[in-house]
Amino acid sequence: MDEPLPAGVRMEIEKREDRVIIRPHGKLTEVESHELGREMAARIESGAKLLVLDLSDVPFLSSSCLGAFMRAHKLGRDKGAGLRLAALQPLVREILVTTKLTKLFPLYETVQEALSAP
Amino acid sequence: MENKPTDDAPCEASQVKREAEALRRELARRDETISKLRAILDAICQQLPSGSDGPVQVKKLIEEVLQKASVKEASGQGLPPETRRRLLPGAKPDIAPGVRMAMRHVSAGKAGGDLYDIFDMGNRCLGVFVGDVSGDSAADALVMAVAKLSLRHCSGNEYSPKSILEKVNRELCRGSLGSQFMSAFFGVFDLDTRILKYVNASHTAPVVYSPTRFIVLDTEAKYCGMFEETAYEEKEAALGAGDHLLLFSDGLTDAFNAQGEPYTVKRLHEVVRANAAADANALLDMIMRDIQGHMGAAPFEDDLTLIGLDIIASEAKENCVTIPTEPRLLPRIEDAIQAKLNEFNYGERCIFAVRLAVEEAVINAMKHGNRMDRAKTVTVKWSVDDQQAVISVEDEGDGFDPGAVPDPTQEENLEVPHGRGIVLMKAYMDDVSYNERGTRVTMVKRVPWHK
Repeated sequence: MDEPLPAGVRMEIEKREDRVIIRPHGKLTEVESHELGREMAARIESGAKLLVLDLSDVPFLSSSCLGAFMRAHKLGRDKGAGLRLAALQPLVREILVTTKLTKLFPLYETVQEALSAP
Repeated sequence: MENKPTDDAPCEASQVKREAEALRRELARRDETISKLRAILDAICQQLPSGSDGPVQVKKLIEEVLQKASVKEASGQGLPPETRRRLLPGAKPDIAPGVRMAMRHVSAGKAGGDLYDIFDMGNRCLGVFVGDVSGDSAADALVMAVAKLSLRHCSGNEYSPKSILEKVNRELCRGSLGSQFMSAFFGVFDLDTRILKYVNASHTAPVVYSPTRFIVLDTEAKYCGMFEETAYEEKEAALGAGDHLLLFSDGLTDAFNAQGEPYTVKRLHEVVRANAAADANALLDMIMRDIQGHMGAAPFEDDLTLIGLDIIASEAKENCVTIPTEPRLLPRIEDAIQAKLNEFNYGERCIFAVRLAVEEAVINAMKHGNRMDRAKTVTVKWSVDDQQAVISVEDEGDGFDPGAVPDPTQEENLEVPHGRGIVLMKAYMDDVSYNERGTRVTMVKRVPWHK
């Protein structure tokens, strides 16, 4: 096991006034989810009213990531911010359906839809 | 299993009911197919002048009908996957774990001829059938068609070759086709116990061989289609790794040389005994050469089919890796398992499911078992073959009671932070079980039938 261990998650962040689009790349497991969770929390704390997670380049996520979504969702509820998930790949979408988290998080086909939904 | 893991326990009963209903409809449809086919072909047969090439054309027609029937079945028509799995004729002969198949076929271009079928009967049983209808009239071709259809049909949820062949016999007798008979060998091979139960109804008896054994698989039995009330004798043979099973059509003893002498079963047995260390594929080559040596320039007067099955040891080896409690080490294990699944063509959905379950199991072991203590380790063992992937994950913690974890998919628990890993493991794997201490989880993913 001499190769370097995988580092954190690579993500792009786009700010549109009080709305923030976060676009992570690659799988979101235990290793990556802490960093993503911290990013979401920081954005909510600094006044964002809507977080849109663009998951179009996320081929895989685990329950650790669902836990991060959950914490952001609860924090957002306290601070008056919403969390929306957009552009999920089909297998990833199924995970949300299986865990019934679609009851908490509305899923949107595109980032644009997530931004413009009421 | 489809990865539509949203079924709750209350849904299962209705699922079973739906499956049963679909199965019943499917069987009814088959009954109808057989009787329609029979009526159509009966009419055709009566109008055919003897001595024309009519019989060959009827054979072609039957093949077309059969092909269409199986294409229709293969499309599934909305049947649940497990039902399809039990019914489909699409099983590849070499798909069974621990069984490799070889085959040689020579066609004499006549209407009658060889009938063979090696098919997945479900329940980890392999159906092995060889039959022969001696004539080459259209009616003989019809007997073949009815036999093949009814064999599949009768094997619905029955695993005794005696009962199945008795049903096929009754179907043939009721066909009111006159005097067509069929010799038949039918065996049911249990892939787990490796016991072959069989009935041989006056067919050239198959043989089991290895360097240390030579068994002729024969039973007392009349031809199929002769007497409606025939009771067949059923025997069984235990086959081990290294054994080979050879099946032949009657064309074997219809292989005449220029002097009109047939190739004999005795001569065949000599070739087998003299080459008992060869695998089935190599031995079939030797037998074909020996038959051709006997015949010289004489042409084949009957179809000839030789089928060989090698019983091989399961190739699944268990892999084992122990890692410290460090989540960043996990992708390497997942990649290793994924590579193995790829090798066996498990397909995208299956591979996704296994990767997710392994991720959840190992992270649970590290977080909740070892409580992120880096001095403690997690051991992952896995084996993959062409039937299933088995993965176990063990930690060095105090164990947990899986029954005590609240179900986070319940409305009131939706916001509970933990327990989703367990939900996902159960939903995405076919079987998930824990050892008594609650320190080891073992998960099974079976290969999807249609890749």
